[in-house]
Amino acid sequence: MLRKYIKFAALGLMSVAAVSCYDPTQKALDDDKSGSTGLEYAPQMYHSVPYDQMTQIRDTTAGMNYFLGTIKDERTNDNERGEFYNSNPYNDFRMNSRLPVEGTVKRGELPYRIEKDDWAAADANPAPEELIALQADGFSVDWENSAIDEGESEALYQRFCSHCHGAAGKADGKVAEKFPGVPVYSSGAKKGMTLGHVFHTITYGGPAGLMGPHASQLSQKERWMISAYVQNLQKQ
Amino acid sequence: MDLRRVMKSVRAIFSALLCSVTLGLLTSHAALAQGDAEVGKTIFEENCKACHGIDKASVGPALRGVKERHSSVDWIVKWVNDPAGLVASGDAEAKKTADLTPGAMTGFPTLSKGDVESVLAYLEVAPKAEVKKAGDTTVEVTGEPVKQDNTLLTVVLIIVLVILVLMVAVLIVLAAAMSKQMSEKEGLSEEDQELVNQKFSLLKVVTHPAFIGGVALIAVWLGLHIGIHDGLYAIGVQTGYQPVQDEIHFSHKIHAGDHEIDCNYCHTGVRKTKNANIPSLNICMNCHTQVKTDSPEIQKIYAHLDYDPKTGKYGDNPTPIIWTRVHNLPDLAYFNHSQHVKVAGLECEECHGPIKEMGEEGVYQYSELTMGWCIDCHRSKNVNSKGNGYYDELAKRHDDFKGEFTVEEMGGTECSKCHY
Repeated sequence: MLRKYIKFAALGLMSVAAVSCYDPTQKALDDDKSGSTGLEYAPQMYHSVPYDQMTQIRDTTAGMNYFLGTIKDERTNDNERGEFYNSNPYNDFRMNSRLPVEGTVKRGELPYRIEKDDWAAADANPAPEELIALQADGFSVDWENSAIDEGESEALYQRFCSHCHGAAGKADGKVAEKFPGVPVYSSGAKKGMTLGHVFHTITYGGPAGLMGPHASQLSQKERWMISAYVQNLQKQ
Repeated sequence: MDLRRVMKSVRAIFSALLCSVTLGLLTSHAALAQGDAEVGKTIFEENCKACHGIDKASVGPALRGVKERHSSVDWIVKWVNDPAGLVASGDAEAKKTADLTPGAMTGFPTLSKGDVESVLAYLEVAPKAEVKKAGDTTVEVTGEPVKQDNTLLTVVLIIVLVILVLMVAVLIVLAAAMSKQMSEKEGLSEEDQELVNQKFSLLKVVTHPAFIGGVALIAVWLGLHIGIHDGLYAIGVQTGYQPVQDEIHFSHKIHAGDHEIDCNYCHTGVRKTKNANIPSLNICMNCHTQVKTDSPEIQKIYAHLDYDPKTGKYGDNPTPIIWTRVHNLPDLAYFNHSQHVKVAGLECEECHGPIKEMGEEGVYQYSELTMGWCIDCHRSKNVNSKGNGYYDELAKRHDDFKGEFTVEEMGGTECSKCHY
């Protein structure tokens, strides 16, 4: 009789051991990728109540409670909308984010006033003194006395420019194989570019109309930092 | 057999000869031309290659045979030094050349006559279509190593399995042989006799209460585990979620993987704000005014921007692209990208996984994004306090007490850090 129970217990233990090898977290990772988000514990706490700039739920019935009736939408006084519906009906395309009003001045920087085609003014435009000090030759950067850091400037260059212009400005980035007209900074035509010229190019795009404007991706300070680092590469 | 071998060696000698003859021809040809082709190659790659292909028109026209197309080498030198000036001087040939392409050529006043002659010499000997090779080979290499690892593992598993099956078979044969030998032996004790004559009965085993109980236990356990434990665990966890994008099948593999574009280039907010940002279409157009302009996916961008690739003009009726969001962190938890990427210095892949290998099928959620997953990291990771003045005092005081300065020690597991 006792032996029977021991056998029983042994079998039980084995089954426990077998099952516990099976790790649900690992299973979740190995699972086939799915197109569904699955179930949620507390949907009312998962979905944004205010308009969220990075999500837009356009389905008007999303989150509609069929058992308790529809929930009144305070924003639109509309009873026919589900709770998770998150689109602003007053904006174009019901988007939740909008462009700033034209002429808006960004915080922390003054507008750059040189016109796109005014390359003469751009070439002569000196770097902001509080940011960058120039050496005697007029276009090399004096990193020691500048407020910007050479390492940080290089990091910015590598992130935003190197895939076309190459890690050392030799136009050997991976994208340059497909994109025509990427210049070598140290070539005869580009060697003498002033700091202001480089800044203007990053802001509005290149004079030949090939490189695009990068002002939306980089702040003015970051653009000056990259320009300063490009001056290093022109001499290499 | 022998004949074949002879043929083979003859063929090898012949091809070697052919190679050396062509090489010799090429080098002698180069030596004959005025200027040094080697020097010309460097000058060409530094100055001209950006806008001119050798055989393929790029921004400017293809340059092979340019010497024959123009009146004299002296004219070419003048043109290279100051194209705008030459056009302005009323030179008819210069005007014709300027009209070849819409853009104006940049002047290279530093190039001497000798330099231009070297470039012309290089153009005569430059191999055909050398540019194409570089792009093709790199793509093929990337996919391979992963596949090899997998097959190795399968092979090892199969070998182990075969060995195990063989062992079982050998053991069964051995047992049968031994019991046969035992039964032939005379004078066995009663106990041994019983053992030898024992018949294996499947029915007896199956109907044994211990067996039934065990099977029932396993069944119940598995049922509970899969049904309740796993079922509950999956609620609110969206690991592996890979929605199909409605409009554009953007490939991170092509952009971030093959072309090594930094994540930050498009996701501009990742070091500055809470959100990494979905890039606006003007960022696409930084490259796609020139690259893959005929692709149907790129045409969709043009349609949304109301852009005409022929004239390069934007219309006034742009429409937004609707993307399907992949990572849906619940609204109840606060997460800030800049704190993790800029301050802590984490790599994107630490949370987003092999994003550089995710192709047209879309991005999937790699990490769990559960609270336990966040907390695990906050407990084990040290604060990246080096070179960050904000943490100087905290790090110093912390060193007086304990060794590790984890995020948790700084209050990184307080509820109100993320839930408020």
